[in-house]
Formats: sequence, structure tokens, C-alpha cells
Amino acid sequence: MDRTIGSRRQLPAIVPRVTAWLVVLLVWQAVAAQIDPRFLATPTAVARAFVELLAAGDLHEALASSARSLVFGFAMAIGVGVTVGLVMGRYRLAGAFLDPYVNALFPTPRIAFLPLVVLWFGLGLQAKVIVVFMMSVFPVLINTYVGARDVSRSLDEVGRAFCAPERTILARIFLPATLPFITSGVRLGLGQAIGGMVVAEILLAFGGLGSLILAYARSFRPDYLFATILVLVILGVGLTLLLQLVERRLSRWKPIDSAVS
Amino acid sequence: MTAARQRPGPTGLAELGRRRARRELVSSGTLWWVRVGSVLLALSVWELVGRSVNPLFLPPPSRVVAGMVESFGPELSPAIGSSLGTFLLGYGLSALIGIPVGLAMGRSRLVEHSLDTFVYALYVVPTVAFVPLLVLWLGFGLTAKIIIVISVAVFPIIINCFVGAKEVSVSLLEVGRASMAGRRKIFLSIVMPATLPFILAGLRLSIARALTGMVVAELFTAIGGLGGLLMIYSNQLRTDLAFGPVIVLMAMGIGFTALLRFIETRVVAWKETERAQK
Repeated sequence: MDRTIGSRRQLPAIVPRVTAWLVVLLVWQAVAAQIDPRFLATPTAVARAFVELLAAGDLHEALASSARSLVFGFAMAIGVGVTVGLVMGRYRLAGAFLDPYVNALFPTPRIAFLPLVVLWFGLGLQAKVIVVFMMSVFPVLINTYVGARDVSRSLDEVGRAFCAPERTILARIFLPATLPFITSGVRLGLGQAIGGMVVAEILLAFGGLGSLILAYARSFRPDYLFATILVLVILGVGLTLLLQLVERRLSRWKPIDSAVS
Repeated sequence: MTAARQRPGPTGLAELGRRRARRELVSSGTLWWVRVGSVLLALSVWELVGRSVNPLFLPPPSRVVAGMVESFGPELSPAIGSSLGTFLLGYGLSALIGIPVGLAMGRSRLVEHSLDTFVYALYVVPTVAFVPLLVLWLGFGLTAKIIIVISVAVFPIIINCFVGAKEVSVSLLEVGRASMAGRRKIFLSIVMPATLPFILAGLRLSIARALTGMVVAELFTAIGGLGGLLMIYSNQLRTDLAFGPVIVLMAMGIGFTALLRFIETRVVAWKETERAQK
């Protein structure tokens, strides 16, 4: 798609991308080499730290702790978010009953509840799971709710035209049609879940990758800090790819025209 | 809804049939009452439960309100002022940086390809992970907090502006080109207005993120602002006072989002007509 006036030969995308990365890495290396290594680490130092981190023991324990709270919290968020979202979208009364809370809590910085959560649940795995849950449940819920509401409206007439009982409508029409909304909600929720997990770990200093980051900052080891962030990124990307795989498998049935979504 | 009203002729049974088909067994007026009733019910339950359990756990709304009034002058208002300052500065700078960058990415393939990996990479990273590092570099002051807010809030803005600028209708651009308009004119008169809904959507989406960044920065530094106050109150086990900052933050989130939605509806109304004419 030519968006410039007049013709201009287009560079293949990879060229600026690679160039930009090379420039950034070189500048970073040059600048960081001049600065006190306690404050800024060079890319080479980070790479070295990353390898050492993978070999040593600290990382595995932290990763396991993070993964535990992430999986439990996010699974709960999906369970609750999808169920409530579907019910709210399908039954308007339920939707009206619950949506003041959803609309009030969604734009709220839910992280503000963290001190209260700690007050109620103490400083343990429970608190972390709850924090992950409260950060990620709303994207899932809202996407499911909005999708379910739209689907209900358009597909209901089809179901009624065929005189289908409610249960059939639910299983054969409603659920499959809401699936794309659910998956996009889950995808958005994952980012929030990881963010919630990291924040909880950094603020509560209770295990996990976040507390490693905190410890490395406090002991002036930015190379290990960046390496840990790198691990976090890989975790996030890995989980996102996993989700995309699941999404693709579930959407196999999808019709050629996705006019419904 | 308006179309139905404009339709002439008898609407009695036909309308009812249509409503049944759409499952509108309950009118939208009733739904509003359900919403109001739900909130009133929740508040009453909260009040009753709060009175019977340990006030450390769940202070009833009456206590919370009393606490808010009590702390308003000396502690709550300066905290609100400080937080608002951090938020507005951080959010404003995010918009100032994000909108031009996003638009540039959308209009220029070169800029797009140079920056897109970084933008998406940083969008995916939980930027809160940089908080300890930023505090290490910049200390506990306003600068660190603003940078933290920018680091979380700028990316949805960039991405939305980018997508919006990229998707400008080709037919509109052709009109511009056919009229021999210069590049600048095309940008100002066609691209900018067409992208406006996306810009506003990006701005709306980053409100919650900016607020979250602000709260995280304040919770971490435990100094100043509503987050700092929250930390202090919870450490003192004054749960009744702790609800105060939470409620204010909720109000800020709802308020700013509503403001942006209002602006958006103003713009989208125009946009919808354009879309209908395509």
C-alpha cells in the first residue's frame, strides 16, 4: 500500500529493524562502559549474567515461585471471568445487577488494593495469587461480557427461529460464538497477570522473579537485574505463544466470514 | 432505537414480538433500577457485615466515610494534590511523546520498521520491573515517579496512534492526492482527523495504566501521594482510613475515563457519518 506521494523504492522491513537494534546495542554498550557498573550494565555484561543466572540455583526457585502464583491466580481469573462474563452477557438481569461493580472497578488502578489484600491475607502465596487474580480478571470478564452480549443479540433470533431449547442454544450457538472474545480477553489478561505478579513480588519482597529484581537493585547488580527482566520477558512471550496456539486450535471451526465478531 | 421510532404505522404487537425475539423481556428502565438496587444492597450488606466483624478487617461504609472526612484536611487533600500532579504530568508527557511517535510510525514505513520491535518489546515487558532500577538512578522524587508513569502509559498511545494513522482510508488519501495537496496539507487535513478516534481510544486505554503506574511508584517509594498514604495507613492498621485513598483512586479512574469517553463520543459521531458514506 503506497502511502507516499510519488514513488519511492521501499526498503525491506528487516533492514531498518536490524539497523535500529544494532545502533541501540552499540550506543548502549558505549555509554554503559563509561558509567559506574553499579548503575548501568553493558549488554555484554547482561548476556554474561543471563548465562550465569540460568546455570545457578537462585533463578529456578524464583521462577517456580513466580510461576505458581501466576498459574493459580490467572487460572482463577479465567474461571471466574469467563463464567461471570458469560452469565452477564446472556442474562440481562444478571448483567445489570453486576455491571456497576465491573464498570467501577475496571478503570480503577486495582493495584491500590494491594495493601488491603496484604492486611487481609498476610504476606504469602495466597496474597500473591489474589493480586494476580484481581489484576487479570477484569480484561477477561469484560471481553467475555461484551462478546456474550453481542452474540446473544444476534444469534438468539436464529435459535428461536429453529425453536431450540435454551440448553441447546447455549451449547451449540452461544459458547462457540463467544470463544473469540474469550480468547482475546484471556490474551489481554495475561499481560495484566504478569504485571500484577511482578508488582506484588517487588512490593512484598516475597519470593519470585520480582524479589530477585529488587535484591539485585539493592545490591547494585544491574547486570543480573536486566538478565532477570530478560527471563521475565521470555516467560511472557512463551506464555503468549502458548495462548495463541490454544486459540488457534479452538478457533478451527470458525466460519469464513467472521461477521459475527 | 431511533429508526424504530421513526417508522410509521402500528407498532403494538409487532414491536412486542420484535422485543421478545431480542429477549427484551425486561425493559431498559427496569435494568437501571436493578443496577441501583444492586449497589444499595451491596452497601447495606457491607454496613451490616462491617459492624459485626473486627473493624480491622472490614470497616463499614459509615466508618470509611467518617474516616475520609476526618483525614481530608490534613492528609488526604495534599495526597490528592500530589498524586494528581504526578498523574497529569506523567500522562501529559506520555501523550506528548506517544502521539507524534505513533503517528510518525503510521505514516512512514521507515520509522515504523525502525521502532516497531522496540515498541512491542517494551509493551510486553511488565515495565513495573524497572521500578527498583529507576529509583536507584533517580531517587525517590517526582522525576522517578513521572518516568514510571510514562513507561507504563506511553505504549498503548503509541500503538493506537500507529494503527490509526496506518489505516487511514485509501480513498481519502486519493482525494488529497488528486487535489494536488502537499504532504503537509494531507497530513493535517486528512490523516489527523481520521486518526483522531484512535488517538482518543489510546488515550482512554492508558488512563488506567497511568494511574496504576502512579500508584505502584507511590507504593514502592511510600512517600507522598495517595499510594504513600495508603502504605502509611495500612502499616498503622487503620483500615478505615486506608479505604479513603482507594476510593479517591477509584473516583479518579472512573472520572478521567468518563471524561475521555465523552470527548470520544463527540468525535466518533462525526466519524460514523464518514464511515457510512464510504
